[in-house]
Amino acid sequence: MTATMKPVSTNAPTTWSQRVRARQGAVAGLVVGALAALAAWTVAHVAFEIGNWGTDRVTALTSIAWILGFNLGVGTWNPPIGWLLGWTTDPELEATEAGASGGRSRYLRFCTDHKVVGMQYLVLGLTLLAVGGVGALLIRTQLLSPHSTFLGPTAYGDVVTLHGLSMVIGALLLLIGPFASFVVPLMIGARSVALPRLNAMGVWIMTSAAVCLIATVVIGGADVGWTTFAPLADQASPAMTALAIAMVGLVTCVILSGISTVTTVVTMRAKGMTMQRLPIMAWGSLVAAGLAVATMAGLLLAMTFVLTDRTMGTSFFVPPWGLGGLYEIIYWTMGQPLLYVLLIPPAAALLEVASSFARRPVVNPRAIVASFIAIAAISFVTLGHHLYTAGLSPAAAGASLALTELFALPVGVVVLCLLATVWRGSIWARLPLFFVYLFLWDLVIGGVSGAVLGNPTTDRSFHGGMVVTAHFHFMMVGAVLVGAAGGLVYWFPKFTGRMLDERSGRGAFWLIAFGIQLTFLAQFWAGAEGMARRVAWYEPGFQTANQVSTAGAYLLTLGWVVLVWAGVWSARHGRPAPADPWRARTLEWLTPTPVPLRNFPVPPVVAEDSEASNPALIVSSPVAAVPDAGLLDAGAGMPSVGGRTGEG
Amino acid sequence: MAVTETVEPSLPFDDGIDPARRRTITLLAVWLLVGFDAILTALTVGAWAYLRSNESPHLWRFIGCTPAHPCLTPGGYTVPGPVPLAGTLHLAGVIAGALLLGAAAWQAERAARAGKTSRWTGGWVVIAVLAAVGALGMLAVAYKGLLFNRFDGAYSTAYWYFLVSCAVHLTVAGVVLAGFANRIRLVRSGDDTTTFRAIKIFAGWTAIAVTILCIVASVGG
Repeated sequence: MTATMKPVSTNAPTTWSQRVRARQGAVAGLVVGALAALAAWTVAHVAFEIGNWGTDRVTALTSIAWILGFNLGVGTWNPPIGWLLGWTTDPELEATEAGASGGRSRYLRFCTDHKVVGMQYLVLGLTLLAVGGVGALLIRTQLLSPHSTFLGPTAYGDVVTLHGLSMVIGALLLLIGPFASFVVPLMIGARSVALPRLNAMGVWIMTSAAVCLIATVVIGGADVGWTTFAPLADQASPAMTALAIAMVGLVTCVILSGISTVTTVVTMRAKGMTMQRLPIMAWGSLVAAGLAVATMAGLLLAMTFVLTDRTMGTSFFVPPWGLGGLYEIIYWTMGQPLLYVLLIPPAAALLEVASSFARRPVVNPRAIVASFIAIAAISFVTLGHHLYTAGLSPAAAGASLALTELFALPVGVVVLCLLATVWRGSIWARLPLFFVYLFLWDLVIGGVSGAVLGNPTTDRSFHGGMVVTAHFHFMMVGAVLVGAAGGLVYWFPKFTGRMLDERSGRGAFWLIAFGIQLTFLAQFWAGAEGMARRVAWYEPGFQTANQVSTAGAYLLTLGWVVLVWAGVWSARHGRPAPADPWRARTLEWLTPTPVPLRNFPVPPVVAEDSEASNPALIVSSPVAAVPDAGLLDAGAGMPSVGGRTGEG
Repeated sequence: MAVTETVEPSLPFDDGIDPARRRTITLLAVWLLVGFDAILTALTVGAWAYLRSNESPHLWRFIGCTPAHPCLTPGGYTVPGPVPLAGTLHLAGVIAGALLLGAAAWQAERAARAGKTSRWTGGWVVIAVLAAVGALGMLAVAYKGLLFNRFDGAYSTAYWYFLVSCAVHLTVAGVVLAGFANRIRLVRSGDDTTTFRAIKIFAGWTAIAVTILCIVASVGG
């Protein structure tokens, strides 16, 4: 995680520009952002309150000023401003910006090293997941008894919104950062990402947007749910304006990182790393990034409509003049594919894990890649199953049913290939592999319940109930978060240079595994009995199921806390990791740990093992052992059993 | 500025990346951005079509709805009569400005490829900037004719959104082109034909998007 290069120069900054840029960072961002927000709030209050324009405009201007000011202080705007104004390139500043000076301060400023950006995303993602997790505990505590006054209905709604959005965005950032930004460039033999400044801009814009999101609980709360449906979104408190601006920030972040990921995978592959040889993880990130870029337009449009409705007097969703149905269509145009943006990278990561710990190549990688692409394509045309109860015509509902059930084919292929990879493999049962099994179990439960809910007839019964909540959480927690955790545990030695404490990790795993089943199977139970979702109070008959679910939620939270604690402890005190602790022999493991600034001492050249059955798995030897320009020779010093060697 | 194929170190603290790869990266990134914006524009037009087809409800102008004979919504709200539309001639002016912007950026790229002087290529870029400014001015005039309030319904606000979307497109293109003109003036290295090509693609798409939005905005009720 730390670069080994020394500072290029220790000369003190001399010019005005150098002095300013030397002080830019997170602290400067906080100061400038706070000052900008305060100034905007003051000006807006004076200007708009007198004019009786309402507090939404004040909130909007304050939030925008915060985001602009924070990023000005951090240095996020330096690249575009520098380009527009024709600033000359300063090698020393370039080196500092690239993280050449090393040290922990890189993580608190604008740094273009993709590994630093990956870790910044990881911390931000975990922070949002922690916020969402606290929200989940508050929700479950409220639901311990039928008419609890612990939160009350309004605060409960606010917490539901913050919980849902924090969890979804936090999960997304885990996939963008550690996976797409940190690991994938290493896996393809790149010495950097293709657009490092763009990549780095995304994380800081998202950081400032995350503050706006979390601030919603302070400025009144937005009782709208994670989907922020209109016209609720038009009617909520001014906190909704800050939330919408945070969503615009999220869109910007996803677009920037998506463009960075696609260009990196397409253009920065090492010599010999053809698309046919591309690791499954890189394929998964490529498909997910492309899908994300394509779908974020829907979220941006929905949020700008909400913002103009709230601040500019338009009426896209204001009843009776506007149509809430429009919001649903626009939102789910984005929302449905987003679920697969979240699902594909963890599945891809666990395919890598399975291959490493089953000591055999991924089974049928071409079918898997085709399935990823098919999932992405189908996800664009299945928004209808979210609209069954919103007046969808029978013909449209029938088409939506057919398209939704079509998902079973590509998802089934991925599941079967994952199963086949571990089936009769030479299993090395280490912690990352446990997450593969849990992922498969949860995905099957979530997927089968999704197929049931994809049927208009059953959906009409269950749509407003806890069955949907249970299905969604099996997918988001059981599949997405578990898959992401499996990948993080697997690449932990590469991230930190140390091994994760296996014992604590296994303890955490079992808490998580049982916690998920207890929490969300109990929600299926409550839903099947007829309990509605998104309600703070319920009939006493549902209490037992809710108590079981709450107990599970506490268990689950304990599991995540133990896992994070194990990670933090191991990062400081864990056993130093060898370069390739799992003997996986894919490219990311063939560079030293901690990874040097330019990733590979010499640009790697990939050659294929003629006996490897899996073209996506490259048999290669460590860079250091290769005399000829870092040629990663096929089969050097290892059994010819495909990409992954047998455990000795 | 002499237009050459040499590029500045394109990755921060870079140890070298060949121009062909840099060209692919730049153009792929621009196409992805344009693709995203194309989807956004298509969704915007789709939103208008959805509202129009649903009559939003009964608030799109139709024969018989006049100030003298207002229509009533199912909820009993009164439609306050025909909503003023942006003038077609004004929108034609905006389209003309946008097309000139795209054409000038196109010419600048052609001139750069032909190895023309920086004065020549920079001149085309300045023309593109002026076209953007002109189109923005025309939009401001058109906007004045599109006064509305919330009671006019989603009908008029969709048009308002179209004009704002046009303004955002033109402003971004204008700022990028102005920055590029500035770079040409300062003879900054690193602006090779790929940069011209990327800006041509972006400016070309801006012209197309603005044209589409203005045409839809002039369709009327």
